Amino acid sequence: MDPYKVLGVSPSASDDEVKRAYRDLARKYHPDNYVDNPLADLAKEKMQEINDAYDTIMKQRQNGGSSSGGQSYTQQGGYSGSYGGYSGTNAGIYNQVRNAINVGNIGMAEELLSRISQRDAEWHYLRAAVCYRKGWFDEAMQEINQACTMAPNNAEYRRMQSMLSNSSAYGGYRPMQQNDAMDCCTQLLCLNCLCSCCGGGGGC
Amino acid sequence: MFGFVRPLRGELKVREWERFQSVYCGLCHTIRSHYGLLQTVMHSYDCTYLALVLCALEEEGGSCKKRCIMHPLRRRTCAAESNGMRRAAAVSVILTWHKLEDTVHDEHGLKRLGARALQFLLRRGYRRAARDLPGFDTRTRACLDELGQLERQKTASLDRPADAFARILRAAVANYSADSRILEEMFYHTGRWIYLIDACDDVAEDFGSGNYNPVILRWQLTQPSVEPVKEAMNHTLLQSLAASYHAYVLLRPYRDAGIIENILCQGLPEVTRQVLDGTFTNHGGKNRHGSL
Repeated sequence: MDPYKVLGVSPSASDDEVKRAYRDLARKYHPDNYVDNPLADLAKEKMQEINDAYDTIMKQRQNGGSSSGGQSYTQQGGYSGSYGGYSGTNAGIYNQVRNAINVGNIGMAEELLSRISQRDAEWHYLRAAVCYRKGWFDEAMQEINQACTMAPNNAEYRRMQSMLSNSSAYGGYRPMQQNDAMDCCTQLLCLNCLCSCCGGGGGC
Repeated sequence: MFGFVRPLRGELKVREWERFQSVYCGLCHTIRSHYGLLQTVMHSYDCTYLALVLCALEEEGGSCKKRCIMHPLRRRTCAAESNGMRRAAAVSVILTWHKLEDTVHDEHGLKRLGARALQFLLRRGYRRAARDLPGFDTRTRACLDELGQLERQKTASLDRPADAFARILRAAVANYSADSRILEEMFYHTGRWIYLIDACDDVAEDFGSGNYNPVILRWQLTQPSVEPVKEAMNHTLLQSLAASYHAYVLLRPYRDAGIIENILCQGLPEVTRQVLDGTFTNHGGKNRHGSL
């Protein structure tokens, strides 16, 4: 596929325009937006496509003598959402639950969890993961809060709790609720922050 | 459904607004030609959104000029009939029928009588739609039965009843195209949002009448207002919209991306804000169907 089409820019676009288009798309399809999402595989494909397109264009341009372009995002870890590090009485069955979640078999994970009568922190944590994947965001929140209350020192539970409870849970989705002058300023500020974050950390 | 799905009109380009209207009119004409004129009385923006998304995935997309009862003097631009249009039309007719069935079950007196009468008039169109989309009809019925059961049990959960409702919308786009997996995810989350926003909107009314309301039960509200749990509801509602959006961006629409993104990123968050603030009016505003 034409790499320019993938990025949605014309072949005559400047390097900066290509970079900006790439950055916008990469932010949209970034694996962080698809953590524990049943469509994560499709997002990964899309991200790969965008990365390839960007690399192709930048290579072409470098060979053609224009200025250098920088590198595409590399896939980061934490994408497959693996759960681990538990060693209790139910370790065996929790392992099966984790495997089921990781391969996306949510029905099976749910079934396995429902069979366990002794519900400890790990149980609530795994159930939170199951609820989250199903889009049951309120119950996911309740379960992870429960897990954190029962095991306040578990870093893994805390991570999930903070991921679910603030607006980073929306990923690349930016709801613009009101469009008055005040909000416009806030948005510019936010955009500014975002751009500097991305420029600093994303390597583009 | 409920008329919550709308674009934020002020943020649409004029041609986008005209296109949205033409999809609305096109869907109305499709419903009329396949299932009869009467079926169009319950036509709303919710199914227009479905039609808009499905049509955006079709390579060909034309329009034509047609006259109708609502606009007898000037012929209006209508989006052409297509597979997506026909799917949305059948879904609309089947949903209307089941909504009436619900009214017959739940209401008494004149309202019930009215719903029965309307059902009698709409029965043939419904049968035709159910024949065109048998899977959707049975699944809608099953989900609504499940929902009714959860309501009778006074389930104090947001997600359980919302799930039963959201699966109806998932079924609406099932087996539609190669993109069904994405569409099902996208409309499941939209469905959860619709169910919960409707519950939020009904808090005051249900608090008085004692009708089932998951928001009241989940938060054990002691006053007829969603105000004390506004933040939490806003968060969980926006999570659904975010999930719907993240599914949507994986599609490759041939057109109308601007309108769909307006609805997902502006229209629905704005409706969320208005409902939670108590400033939402269903059929108010300039437009008959209450665009924002």
